[in-house]
Amino acid sequence: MTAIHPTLLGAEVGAAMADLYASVAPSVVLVNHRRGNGAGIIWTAEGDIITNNHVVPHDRAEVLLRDGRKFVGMVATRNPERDLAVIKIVSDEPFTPATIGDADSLRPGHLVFAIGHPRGKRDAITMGVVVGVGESLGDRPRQSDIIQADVPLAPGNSGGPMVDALGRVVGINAMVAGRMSYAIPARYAEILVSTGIAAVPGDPGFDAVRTELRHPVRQVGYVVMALDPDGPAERAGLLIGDTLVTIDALPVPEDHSIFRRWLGSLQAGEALALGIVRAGAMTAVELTPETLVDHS
Amino acid sequence: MESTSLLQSVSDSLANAVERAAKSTVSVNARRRMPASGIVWSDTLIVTANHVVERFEDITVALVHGESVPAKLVGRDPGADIALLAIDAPLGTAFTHASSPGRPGELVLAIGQPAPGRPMTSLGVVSGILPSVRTQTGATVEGILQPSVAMLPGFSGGPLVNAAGELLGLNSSTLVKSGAATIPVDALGPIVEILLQHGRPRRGYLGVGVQAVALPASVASEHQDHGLVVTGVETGSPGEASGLIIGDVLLTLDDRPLQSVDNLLDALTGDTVGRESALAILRGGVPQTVGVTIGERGAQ
Repeated sequence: MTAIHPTLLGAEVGAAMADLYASVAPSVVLVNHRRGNGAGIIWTAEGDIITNNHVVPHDRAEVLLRDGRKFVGMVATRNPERDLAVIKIVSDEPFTPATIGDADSLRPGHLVFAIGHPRGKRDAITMGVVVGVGESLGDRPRQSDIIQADVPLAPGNSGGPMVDALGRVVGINAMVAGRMSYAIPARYAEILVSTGIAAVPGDPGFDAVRTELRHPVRQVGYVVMALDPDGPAERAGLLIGDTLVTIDALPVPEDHSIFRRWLGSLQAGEALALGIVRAGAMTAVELTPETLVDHS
Repeated sequence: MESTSLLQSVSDSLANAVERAAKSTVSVNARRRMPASGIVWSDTLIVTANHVVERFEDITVALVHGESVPAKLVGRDPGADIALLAIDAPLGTAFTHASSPGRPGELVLAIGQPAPGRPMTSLGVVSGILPSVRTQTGATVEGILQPSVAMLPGFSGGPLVNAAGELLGLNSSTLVKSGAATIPVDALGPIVEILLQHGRPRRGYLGVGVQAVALPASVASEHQDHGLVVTGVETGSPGEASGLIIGDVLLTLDDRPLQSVDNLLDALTGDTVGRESALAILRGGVPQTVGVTIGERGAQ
């Protein structure tokens, strides 16, 4: 980075934030329903609007664009489990979609911005950082699948974007608890929009820990330590002690936390080809994660 | 420079600061609720908040999950909400202190590590700096920072760092009534030294109740127009032993003018304990000098 005089740098950073706001705000909409309002994100030029499921209690919703245009949209798809919904609006002219990013690249301390309509204040931006990533100790990995940030949010932010420093949507603002805010990672909205299918989180029914194999080749593997009774893994024939080395023909991630995240992001009904080492020999198992059952 | 990449650089630099600071931030397990956080002060010392240390034994600290080590409580200062823990083997990296204290408007990050290996953070600015705060034990702490960060559960005892990840101070959620407060590094150092030597804050003790009064014109000077009238003398106190009686007006302690209760509290520092001191007083309007051996607060 070129050296900039500190005062000028501050001004540059301030200006960059204003630029970021200007680039994202046109893709943020106001979603009206009978009891209040929320925010939404223009996801595609064809008029797919992403919002929270709880923002659209009915099948129709009024969608107001920043440029003043008003639409009555139909709720096309819902994913109540992830609190997401797609509203379809139609126009001859293309809409201005947001740039979509990836929540997996976030680290604690990364800047994030929320744009929405907190307490009815139209298109307001707030700033914060990613508080933490990764699962709580002992929890099921899929609980890691939410972005925690200290961005101030209020009613009216729901369904609006959480963007990174490049203005890319990394999450959909969904909840606030105390001073902690929660956003749903963008990839779930992407799946919902692109497939029209509510992606249902899948449970593979096993747990595994990282190891380093020497045979047949030196590589990272994950040893199966637990199988859910009558779960997908057990029924697929996975055994305690099997060492997972490939997933859909690709080597397993070296990093344990990435593996955990992968375990937590599986989709129900999407078959996986697992390559495992059992008793020193390679074998293949096909496993289809199923809808998570809450055992708690 | 393109503005968006500038913001990305700022963002990455903050994430790097968190990563750096996390190497010097431990999880402190010393209460029944969720663990809190602590600062790696040196190879063998951890500084944390006093209110998160609820037990004297079975204290552990951890940097990465699975590497929990036992820690010994060395001392605590409830007034300043500071506890000092000792560990046998180095854990993490001692913090690099910020070269300048926090300034209003400066970007700061609170770091917490209640779950080892999972650093958490909250961004804010230094909203203000308190000029001087007197703790329950009578000591003053100068320059307490008030950051606008969110003190999330488990953040107490952890560090406030600047945008480079360098230590500005120790965060406490209970020191100041409203919001987060950070004891600056400059104030932490002397407190740590005293806790290391004595295990508790050391304060001088006189054992008299006093009130500020205007001095009669015959005694008042350019430098001093107030004194402290004795309104009570505790039984068995150094004040009583020195013969102080109700109605005496204290003028100076070892030549330090006593114009306010704060002056007296400030004069009774830890190093006055056991010292033979001279109190200049007015008794019945007549100047006198009384010898007194300063006691230790809390030791009587």
